[in-house]
Amino acid sequence: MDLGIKGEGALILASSRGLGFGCAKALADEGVRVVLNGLSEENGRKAAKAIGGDTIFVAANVSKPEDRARLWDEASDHLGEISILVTNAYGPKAGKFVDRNNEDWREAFEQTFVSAIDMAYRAAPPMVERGWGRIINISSMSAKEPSTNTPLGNSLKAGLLGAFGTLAREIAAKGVTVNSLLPGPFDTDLLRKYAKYMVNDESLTDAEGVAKFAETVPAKRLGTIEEFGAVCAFLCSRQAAYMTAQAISVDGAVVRTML
Amino acid sequence: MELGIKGESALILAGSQGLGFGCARALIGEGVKVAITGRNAETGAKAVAALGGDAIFLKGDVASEEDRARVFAEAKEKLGKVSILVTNAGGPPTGPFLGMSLDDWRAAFELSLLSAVDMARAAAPDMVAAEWGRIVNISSISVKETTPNAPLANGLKTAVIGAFSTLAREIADKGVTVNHILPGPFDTDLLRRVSRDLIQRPDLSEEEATVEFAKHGPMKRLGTIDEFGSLCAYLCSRKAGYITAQSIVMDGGHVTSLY
Repeated sequence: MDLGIKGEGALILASSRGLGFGCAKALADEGVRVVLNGLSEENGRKAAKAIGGDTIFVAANVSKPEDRARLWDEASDHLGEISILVTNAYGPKAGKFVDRNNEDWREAFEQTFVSAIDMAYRAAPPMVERGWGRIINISSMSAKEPSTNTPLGNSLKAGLLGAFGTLAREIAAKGVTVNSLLPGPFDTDLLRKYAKYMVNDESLTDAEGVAKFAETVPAKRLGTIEEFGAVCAFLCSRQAAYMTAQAISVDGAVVRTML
Repeated sequence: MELGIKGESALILAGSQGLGFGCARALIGEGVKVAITGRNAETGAKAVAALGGDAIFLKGDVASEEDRARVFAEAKEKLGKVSILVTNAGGPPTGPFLGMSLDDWRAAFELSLLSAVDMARAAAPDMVAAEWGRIVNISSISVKETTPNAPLANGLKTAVIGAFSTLAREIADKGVTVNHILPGPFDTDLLRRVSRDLIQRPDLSEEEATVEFAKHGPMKRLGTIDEFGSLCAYLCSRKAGYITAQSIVMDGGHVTSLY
């Protein structure tokens, strides 16, 4: 299927590894020019090389306003026009609700919520003007079914669905769609590190932890970042123009909610 | 129905008018000792007179961290304990998503999300220690179906749902329940003030616009604050002990989503 997005320009936040990288790779395979972002120069250079073409990496911390401004400018300079934006951020601190203080909440709000809407504020007006654009928000299945011990993520990622649901409807008639992806367990460095804690057995190696954790998923395996990237690319396609304001789970059937 | 909460003590945020006042009146009707908060001393005095009995008013702005700490300490001292907490706040400003600044979002975060989170964190430990407690959050149908021109509320009231559903599960086995009521259009001063905007009829008086607006719903009427208060009192009852982490709509059939 030709997705019809060859030559578009995409900025993908937090994309030197994991799900963000999966999106970047899938978009690049469809002929989209991509700008990667992350914290580590070294990871970023590797990622840009793996994708090839004229891909560039911009080191920036999306929870900082000045970094976001610089990232946007550098990406615009390189791409000419940013017609696809993928928002993504590292997860906020874990721990019990009752153990988090007001400052934890404020920090998580800037990192998870403000980072995404700030970039959407930059991206949306030119997309509306052109009459075409795609905004994809990488959320989490915890926005639909809260995970244990992640009150900050559960709350603020759910909140973003409300914010982006409103934006989506404001610009639905302008050829710009805004959707969210709700990933479940994917085979990422982050999950590899935490799997053994998620199955409550710290004596396991990372690999054993991953294997045991995967057994808890109805699909009995983790998702691959290529699978995740494919959904992202489809939502960015011309064909997906009538889908907007949606939150789509990609989770091997972990979330049990029916609707 | 005997609700079994005579002698309990409730702190109701923003309880001097509207839905919060409805909750206060219903809880008092069940023999609960009540403290209400509000920003305006005059409105508070009127409310206390209307509530009668030993209802007390505590002046404070829920968006202020200092006020919240003071109000909670005063409530605990004057009521002896806070075994029921009703979180509530005035709505953040309305307007299109694309017209909001990041500081609008930050202010809405403090008002709509952090006010509820902070008070719940203050109240929950005593409830857990007593092995009984009720937290009811007054939310909005906009967390289920986004309301146009209300991006701040759509975003941050949804975030409260994610936060409280995490808390609810952390303390579910401690006799403490945490639920949300999602009101649709109720007959409140707030609705009267915005009714002309809601139906885009600046030519009508507030009263006429309210009557006209009421005809839009399936029931062709607004809800009353006493109806709202009844649901709140029920959720606070002994009989509702197995209901937790739920979002319950009371809207005369406005929301059309099936679940």
